Amino acid sequence: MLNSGLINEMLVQYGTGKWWSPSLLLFRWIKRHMPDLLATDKLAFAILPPPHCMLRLTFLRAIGPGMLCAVGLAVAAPVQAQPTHGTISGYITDQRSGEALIGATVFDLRSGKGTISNVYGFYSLTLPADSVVLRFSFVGYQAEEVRALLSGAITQHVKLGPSLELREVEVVGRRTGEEVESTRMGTVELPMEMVRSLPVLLGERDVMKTIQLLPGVQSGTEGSSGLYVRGGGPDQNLILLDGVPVYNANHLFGFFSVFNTDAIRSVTLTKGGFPAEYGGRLSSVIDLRMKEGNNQKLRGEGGIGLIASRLTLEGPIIKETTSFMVSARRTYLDVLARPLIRSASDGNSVGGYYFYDLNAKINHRFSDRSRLFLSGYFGRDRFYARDRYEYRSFGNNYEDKTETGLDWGNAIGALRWNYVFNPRLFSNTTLTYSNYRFRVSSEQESIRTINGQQSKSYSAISYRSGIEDWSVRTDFNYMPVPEHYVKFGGGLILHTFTPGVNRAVDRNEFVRQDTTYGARRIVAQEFFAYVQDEFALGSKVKVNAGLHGSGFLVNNTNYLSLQPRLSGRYLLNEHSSLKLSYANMAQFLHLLTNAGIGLPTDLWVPPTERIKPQFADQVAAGYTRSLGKDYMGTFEAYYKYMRNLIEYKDGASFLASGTDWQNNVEVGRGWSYGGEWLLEKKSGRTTGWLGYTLSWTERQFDALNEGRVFPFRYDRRHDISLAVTHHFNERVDVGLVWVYGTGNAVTLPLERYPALPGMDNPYGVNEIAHIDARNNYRTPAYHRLDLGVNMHKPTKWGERTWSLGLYNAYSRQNPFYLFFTVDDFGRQRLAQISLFPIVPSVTYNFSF
Amino acid sequence: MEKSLHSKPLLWLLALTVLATGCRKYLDFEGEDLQPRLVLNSLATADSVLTVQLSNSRGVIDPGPISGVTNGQVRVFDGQGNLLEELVHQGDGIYQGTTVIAAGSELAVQASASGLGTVQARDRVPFAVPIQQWDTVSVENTDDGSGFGFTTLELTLTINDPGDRSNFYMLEGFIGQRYVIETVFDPNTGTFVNDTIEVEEPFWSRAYFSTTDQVLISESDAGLGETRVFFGRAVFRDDTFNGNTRSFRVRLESFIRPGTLDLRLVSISESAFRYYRTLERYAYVEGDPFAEPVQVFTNIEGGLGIWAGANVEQVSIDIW
Repeated sequence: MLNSGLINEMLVQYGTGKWWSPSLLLFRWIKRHMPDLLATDKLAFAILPPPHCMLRLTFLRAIGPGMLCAVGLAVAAPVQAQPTHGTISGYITDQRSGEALIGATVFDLRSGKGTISNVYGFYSLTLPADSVVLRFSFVGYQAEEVRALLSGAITQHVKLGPSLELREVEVVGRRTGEEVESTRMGTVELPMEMVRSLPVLLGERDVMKTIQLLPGVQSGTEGSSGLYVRGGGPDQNLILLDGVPVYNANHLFGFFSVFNTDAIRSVTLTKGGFPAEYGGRLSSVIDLRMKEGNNQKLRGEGGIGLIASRLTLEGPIIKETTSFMVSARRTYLDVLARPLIRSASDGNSVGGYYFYDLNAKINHRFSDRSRLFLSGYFGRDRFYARDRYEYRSFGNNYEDKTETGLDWGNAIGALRWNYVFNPRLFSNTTLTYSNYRFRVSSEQESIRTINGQQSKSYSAISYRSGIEDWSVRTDFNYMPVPEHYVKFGGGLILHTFTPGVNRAVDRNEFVRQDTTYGARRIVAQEFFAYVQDEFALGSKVKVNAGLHGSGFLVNNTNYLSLQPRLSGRYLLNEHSSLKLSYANMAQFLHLLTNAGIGLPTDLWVPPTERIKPQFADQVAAGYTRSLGKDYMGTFEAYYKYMRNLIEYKDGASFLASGTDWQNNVEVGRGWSYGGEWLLEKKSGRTTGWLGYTLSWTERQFDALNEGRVFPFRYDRRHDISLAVTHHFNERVDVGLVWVYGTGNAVTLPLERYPALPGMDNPYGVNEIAHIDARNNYRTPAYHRLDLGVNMHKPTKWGERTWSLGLYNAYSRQNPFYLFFTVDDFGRQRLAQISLFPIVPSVTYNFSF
Repeated sequence: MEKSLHSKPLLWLLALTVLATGCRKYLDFEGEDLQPRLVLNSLATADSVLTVQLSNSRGVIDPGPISGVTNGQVRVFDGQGNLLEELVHQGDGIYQGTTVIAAGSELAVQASASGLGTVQARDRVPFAVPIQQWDTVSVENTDDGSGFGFTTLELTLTINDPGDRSNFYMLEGFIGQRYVIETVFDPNTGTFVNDTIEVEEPFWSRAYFSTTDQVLISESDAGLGETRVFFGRAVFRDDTFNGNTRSFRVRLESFIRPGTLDLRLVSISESAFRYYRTLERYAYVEGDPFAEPVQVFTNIEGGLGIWAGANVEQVSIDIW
């Protein structure tokens, strides 16, 4: 039965072990109090660890008998097969660095069955006890074959080396066939090689900017790294760095993201067909994984650019067992500008802006079954201005000092424990911390020395806001048979919201005052559990079905949500498949943000009695076709309906922090639908993609726009992106990006007319600028061409690369902001501000 | 209302930097080519005769003038579509009738002018809701010794809200102070000269008042427990007290004694309520690039402006 063998094995190994986990506690309890259960085949299902039990109960109630059969199969299959089956499992890693290979394929050439490795490189394949010929492969790597006589549990770690057949100038992406076969929709794994090769603003490589080039994803205003996925807002993206949510992913008002590309190993964007393991946001999941650290040898890479420099080091602490990665980046505009500012102000003033970030990770392998990862990110942006004036008058001395600062940033950490309970059950338990903080302050100090008598006065005002999370989650991967891949887990998040606290300090000879006031801190608990199974129904149909349940407790108000998820594919033939998905999503957090640039004042707030959580339903249908071994084409059509969205009221300012935020917003609904085409070239000298999105996105709020439907600000009818890199030879590669997007929808008055006259109008308004509808005007279309060239050269110590780039190569004046003004001839005109004309960049990169 | 520090100054600086350093370009704007439309503005007040202002609109960047329409036709109908009267032009686009408006009547208006087309609107004149009771709860004398002390006046007024319909209100305060006029204008010399007769005349101005009353501030962005200051007018509705007796407490911050406070509770139609609410918000954020633009309510079909009903209930309170 399930296995008396499996259970006994687990009990032997863990029943008296010192490792703690909820499932082991249950095992121990059952062993002590209900030993008969362990020997009873028919009850084996019941003694699965808690998530399994939950799996059974949840599916029974929520999905019904059909799904129960599927789950039953998942669990029961090994029961029947046990006596004649064996399991081979282990980790698949890069031979050179020891980094886990995510999505590597394990395929039994004899039975034709296989599986893929998970995000930690772990795989497990259970087959009939027989001789097997297993082929381990990953694109760009030399495949390995392992012959074994499968009986019982076999642990087989595999290290794959780079492909010998691959010419060095060729780039490879994910195998096209995998995407045809996968049930996942709306999911793109971003090739990091592309991220590094494509030209970007000021030479600062940026994963978020590259994600903006994918169909279905729209950027905000020019230069911003904000993401608007399938009609959703920037708050609806769950951005995970090593599984930890990042609440503000912007540096410098969104012109750069907080992610240092050198520290990132993989990026996956999911914009639809969400598997049950994800939850908490409506529109997308951006899963970024940091490098684990090379466990073979010390390596480094870095770069010196126009505005920032960066350095990454990674290597083994104990070879094959413990490794580290540390990566740092800092801008130096403030350092460069400081002498100029000093000189211009006669040395009285200092001011500037900088940001920095630091990524670090350490991982340790206790055994083949147990691994520990500790990772962290810390980043800060800071604007500052300091003035100091000293003067003398009639023998008296006066000194005034002022200091104003604006700083914000994230601090996150994750402690992760991978544990292989048995060859078919993999677990990952994570404790995470995430903190986003924004602070603005102003201090003034005056020292007066009059007739030898000194007096001091000091005053300061400051405002701070933020959000802090502690969370714990456990995820299990259960791979009973090749036809089933079950994932389940759950977790708890403790949120602490600080929606805005002010402090005022006054100290002088008359007053000593220290006052703190503002919105009170709010503590909330969020919890979730999920189960999903990916299973085959015959040779052509594969389904991923799951359920995500979540809840939120805040201020004695509870919100609960059960979110069914379903995606499936039907193989038309070897090269093409049809896909279908449905996802119901819930989001318990709201973001108060302006709709344009990524300001640090963006404020995360919990749902309240009045402002409910957001919900979305999304259906999508798609067609995927591989066109030879290099090309891949996908088409997806989607419809997304969102409820309880918030928008600022007419006249509300996103800077108004002194009032209850609930009074500044209205609640309504929105929908988005459209089609996305993506043609990718995944390997060869030339790689890249051409994406096109045709979409409509609208909002309807009872209290806005007279209740009429209006277009979302980033409702872009057409969105085209072309991203191409070409490797001429080992020394030179070039990159090209061209984007086109229909203009954004903005609100502008078109007419003016007199207001009600006389005493009936006490507001001093003589003329009204009439706005017939919200977002009634389209800015000019956005388009831009970026070009870049990377010149590599091997050196004695490694390799150096000069990267030259041209952002906005034909210097298109793209709209950033529209306003009315008077021109040189005294005429009232509509004017546009553009941020970036052609911007050249040069960066020196190195690796060793 | 307590004001908090926030990043506004620095963000203004950022915005100015962007404007100063960004590239500017003028755009073609279709607002330039918009044809003028007929604008009709009128607050039909019970027990008064109708007065309508007709004018034209312009494209927002059209430099042409906005002026009164003198060659228009304004006709007023009752709720059944019967013509009540045609208003007569009084000059500068002001049209006036002779019929005294009755409370509760439904009125439709149709106006037209050459080149500006025809507009129409319909609204009802509400019944008055009397101020049931008023009381100056506290008068705090802060006499500065000049004989004209500044007084903070706390006032409570009570109304019985009719429960058979939704009601919309406008609370207004006017302060009348008496000035002694000792000079008269001499047309022969073109100067003011002292007169032997002293005339005492009231000078009326709108009263600033503040409140923490949740109903009065519910239409603003102030939160629970916060204080909101109104420049002479608070617009509110009876959503939360429909059909009940409700008292409101307001505070007049600087009342100069002696004087008269005219307190007006204006029952207004929903159209008037929406117009004043949006107009107030519009005035508050005009010119602020960080604020969401405001759509001022209009109910004129085919044109712009407002056609709304009102009914005034007033009490005068002398403070000595």
